[in-house]
This record gives sequence, C-alpha cells and structure tokens, in this order.
Amino acid sequence: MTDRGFWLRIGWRNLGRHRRRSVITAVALAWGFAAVVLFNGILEGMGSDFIRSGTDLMVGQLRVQNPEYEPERELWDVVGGDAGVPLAALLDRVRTDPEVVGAAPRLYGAGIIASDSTSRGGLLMGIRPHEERSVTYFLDGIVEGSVPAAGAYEVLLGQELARQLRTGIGEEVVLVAPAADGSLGNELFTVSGIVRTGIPEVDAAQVILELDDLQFLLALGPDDVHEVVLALRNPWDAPEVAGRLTAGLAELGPGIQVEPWTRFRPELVEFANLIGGMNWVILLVIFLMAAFGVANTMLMGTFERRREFAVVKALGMKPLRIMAMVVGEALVLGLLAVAAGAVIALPLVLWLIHFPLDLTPIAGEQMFLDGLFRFVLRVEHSWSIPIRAAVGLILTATLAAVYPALRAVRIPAAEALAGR
Amino acid sequence: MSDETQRPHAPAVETRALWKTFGQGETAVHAVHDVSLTIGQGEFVALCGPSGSGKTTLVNLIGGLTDPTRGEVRVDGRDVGAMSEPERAQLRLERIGFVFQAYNLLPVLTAMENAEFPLMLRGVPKDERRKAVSALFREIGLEGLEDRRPGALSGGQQQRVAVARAVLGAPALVLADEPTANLDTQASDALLGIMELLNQERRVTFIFCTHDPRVMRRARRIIRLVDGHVERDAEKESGSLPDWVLEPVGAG
Repeated sequence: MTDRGFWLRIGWRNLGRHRRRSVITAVALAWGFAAVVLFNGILEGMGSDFIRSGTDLMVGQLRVQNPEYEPERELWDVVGGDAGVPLAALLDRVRTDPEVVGAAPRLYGAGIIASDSTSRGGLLMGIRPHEERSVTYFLDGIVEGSVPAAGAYEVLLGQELARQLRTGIGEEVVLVAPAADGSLGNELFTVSGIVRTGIPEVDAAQVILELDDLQFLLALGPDDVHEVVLALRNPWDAPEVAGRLTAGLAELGPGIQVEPWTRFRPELVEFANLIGGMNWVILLVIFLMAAFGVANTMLMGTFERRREFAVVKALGMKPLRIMAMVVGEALVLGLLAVAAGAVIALPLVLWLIHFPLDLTPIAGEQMFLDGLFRFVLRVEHSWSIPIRAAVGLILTATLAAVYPALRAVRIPAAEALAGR
Repeated sequence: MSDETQRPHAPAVETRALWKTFGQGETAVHAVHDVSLTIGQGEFVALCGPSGSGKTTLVNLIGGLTDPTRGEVRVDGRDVGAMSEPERAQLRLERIGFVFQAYNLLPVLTAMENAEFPLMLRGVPKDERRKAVSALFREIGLEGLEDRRPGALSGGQQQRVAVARAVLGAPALVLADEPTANLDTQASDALLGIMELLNQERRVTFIFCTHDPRVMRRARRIIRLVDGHVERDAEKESGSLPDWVLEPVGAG
C-alpha cells in the first residue's frame, strides 16, 4: 500500500462519525494512561525512597571491606588485609568515580561501656563525622549534644544505651575492649552527644567514637578500617559501580572487596521487586479495563458499518487489509489517548517531581527494613514509565481491536449488502 | 491476478448447474436454481425478472460475495467457489467492478477518494490515480465535486461516483445491481451512455440486474430469471425491447 496516511485519515474520520463515543473512549483511555504514569511514578518514587532510607540511614549503598571480614567480623580483618592499604589513597580512588557522592571510613569493635553507676555491652563504631554525613544521615538523629570531636576522647551514645547507663552529656564513661594486639584497651571518654537512629538494637548498644580514638583504643594503625561506605547518585547503579571499583581498587592491593547494597541488603531488593510487581498489576488492571473499552467501541463500530465492510470486500479489499483498517482506527484512538493522557499527567507528574508532597505530618515517620521512612509523595523522574505506559496503552488498544477486526472480516458481504 | 493467469479465450462468466439455497428442509428457499450460463467477453447483458427471482444472488455468486450451495461459477475461466477469500478479493480487485443500487459510497471519503479507492488498494501511486479520477470525473460531469462527501452529493452524482469507482481500474467485468433504480431519466441515460462506451471501446463485460426498460433496451442480451432459474435467454439488437421481457411471469 503506497498511501499510509490515507488509512490513518480513514481511521480518524471513522472515529469522528460517533464523536461522543470516540471522545468518551479516548478520555477513559487517557485517564488510564495518566493513572498508570502517576501511580507507577509514585510507586517508583516510594520504592526508591524505601531503598534510600534502607541504605542511607546507616549501611550505605556500597561497602568496601576485606572479603574475610564478614560474617565473623574479626578485629584484624581490616581493608587490605595484612598488607594493609593507605586509607587516603583508597578514599581518593573511590571518590574519583563519577557516581560516588560520598565515602566514609569506619572501624568496628565490641566492648564494655561503664558509667559511674552501671555497665553494658556496647557496639563500638569509629567514624569521621564530617565524612559520615556525606554518606549516611543517622547523625541527624542526635537528640542532645554533638558528634565526638577529634582527639577529645568523646563518645556519642545511642539514646537507649545512655538511658540504661543513666548517663548524659558531659559525663564520663569507661570503654573496655579487646584490642587487635591481644591486649585489653581501656580509656576514659566524655559523652558528647546522644543519638536516636530509630533502630532499637542500634539505639540500645551503639557507641560512636572518632575513628582515630577507636583505632588507638583497639591498637590499630591509622589506615586500619573495617569498611568504607559509599553513597551513590543512583542506588540502582550500585552493582555496576561495584564492578568498576573492584577492578580499580585491585591495583591498591589484595584484600579489598566492593559489595553493592543489592547483595548485603537482599530484603531491599525483594521489596523493590514487590513494588515492580505492584506496578505491573496496576498496569494490567488499568489496561484490561482499557481493552474492554476499546473492544466495545470498535465492536459497535463494526456492527454499525456492516454494509461498508461488505462494500470494501466487494471492491477487492483483502481480509488482512480490512483487519488493518479496523486496528488502525484503534491505533489512532490509542495515539489520541496517549496525547490527551500526557496532557493530563504531565503537570501532575512535574509537580510531584519538583514539589514532593510531604505527608509526614499526617503519616509520621516509620521504621521499615532498618530504614527511617518518611511518607513523601513524589514521582520518580523516569522516562521508562511514560514510555512503558504509552507502548502498553497503544498495544492494548490495537490488540483489543483484533476481535472486532476479525468480526469485520467475517461479515458475509452479500447479506450485509442486502441489509440483512 | 496477473495477465498470465487469466484465460484469454475463456468466457467472462460461466456457471454450471449453479444453486444457492437459503435455509434448510421445509424452509429452504432456492434463490438460484440450477442456472447454467455462459457470458462472453465484452457482452452487455441485462438480468431481468421480478423481485425475488434471484438476480442479485446470481450477481453475488458471480462476484464471489457468497458461496454457491452447489455447482460452479467461473470468471475468466477461474473457479470462484474454489478460491480462498484473499484470492477472491484479488480477483474482484483486478477483474471485477461493482455498482450497487444504493450507491454504497463510503461516507467518510470524498468523491475523489471513493472513486480512487480500488486503485489505492492496487497500490497505484497517488498522482496517477488522481489524474485518472479527474479525467473520468470531467467526462461524467463530476468536475468540481471531488472534495464533496457522499452526503453532499445528489443521488445521480453519487451513482456516477460509484460507476467511476467500478470502472476506473479498467475491470474486465462490471456487475451492476439496479444501477439506475434511483436515478432520473437524464442521469440514467448519462450513466448508461458511459457504460456502453466502456463496453464498446474497452470490451468491458457488463451484467446488469435491472427492472429498468431503459437498461434492457440498451442491452444486447437479456436473461430473464424466474424463481431462481433462467426462463428466457435471448440476444437482441441494442435499442429494441422484446415483448416477453415485460410479460407477466409464466406468460412466456
């Protein structure tokens, strides 16, 4: 066929014959498209927020460790292993990756923390607060005081731990911890602040120190850390960045492993898959409804135009071309609906991308999968959502027209011409 | 269908013991009843007979728009009943033009688009088909009406567009079902004049279903159907009208 525009014109004009019916169907499809784009965008945004809250609070999106460190978490399994690795060089190297927006070294240990009235077991974490803030936000949970100052022998305590120790800002605590050299490190520290992360087990046991202070307490060197946690521009790029960094860091020496959050927080991946599944369900439900709408419109059109289909048959139009003509009308309808749906959805989507609706005052903050989740209604900026919805809608519309098209092909020409 | 596949010496239409029955058992109606006919290339034939005599059904059988219950229909020597639907469509597209009583123009298309429709189905380039339509429209007095939709045309104009649609692709056979039924004398004469010209100049075979004496007068062969079978089949001079044509059923 040489004149494709002709058939689109026919489709357009045929739709115009029952303008009200076509408009109602197109508007219903357009709302379906807009709903899919909006709901999918919101769900993607929510999923992304869940992942960010599950990684950004404490664990980060990538972690650089000694491959031997997990799961025993032995004190001497520092990054780089026995040979060690210069911490500054490691940090410089990871920060050169364009996807990395922050890197923070950490050292872990376990010990006893004693106030002047009681003692508890404590999980020790050595950090550089200003670098930690570039990766995680648990320090935003400081409810009293401030982060430990470098060289001041200060600690930041989990809120519940501080309560159990019956201690507070400015008071002294003693830390006793087995050190890497087999000795028992002990030192007097001042409580500089109290933090509430929202994770009960963390708040009941976490003792946060300046990295240098913990290295000294545990008899470790200034380059000895158990992990470097990284924040990325897009959490979903973590596996790809991990692969890149693994290759790059191998040059610094053995005993360095880079893991993405998708590996050390598999439950978040499952949750993301669940969100993806919900998106498909929404897509399916809305497009099924759309399919019935289109099929109904096209079937009615087919019944009303029996004689016309008989005429085109008599003129020599082949069955496939007749089918294409009917499906073409549905295609025009689908294209119209996508255009109208975009007009409906675009302002809402742009608004929710640029001005997320913070529902925290109503819904509050919730702990979810070890992350502090805030109910913020926002749409994840993604071209794949409208493209997927548009392709889905147009496919649905055209597929829904296949049955009416088959009916049109099967119309007995002689009977239809006789008005039977 | 290419020129190689048509039989040059085959009759335009051949039917052998053709039956078309609607319904079954006691309610069965034999719309076409053991009809055997041979219509040569370039004939100008009128099928006459009272309403319900089977004229339209016979034309539909010849055009492959309905299947025979029994018997055989051949167009250009090809067995229409044995063809698949796409093959029949191809045969109609390349060899047969239809003119219907009720014009049956496609309402969403303009006069020009309606007339060029079969050419478009054949894949004729736009310029070529527009040129052909414009030339024919000039001949049949439709110049200036190209962009009108059927609803904005008179009955005569619509029927002329329908004839243009049927003959533009230079078919070998035109099946016309009561083409003049809704036309006044002047429009009928004009239309029949065009068809006669095509018949004489291009040897297009015309088969008319008609009650119209004006059509029968111009025909050179008249076949009278009664109750689905051929009662009379006679050649005649153009311009004459045998008495038996107008006689009541059974009188001949």
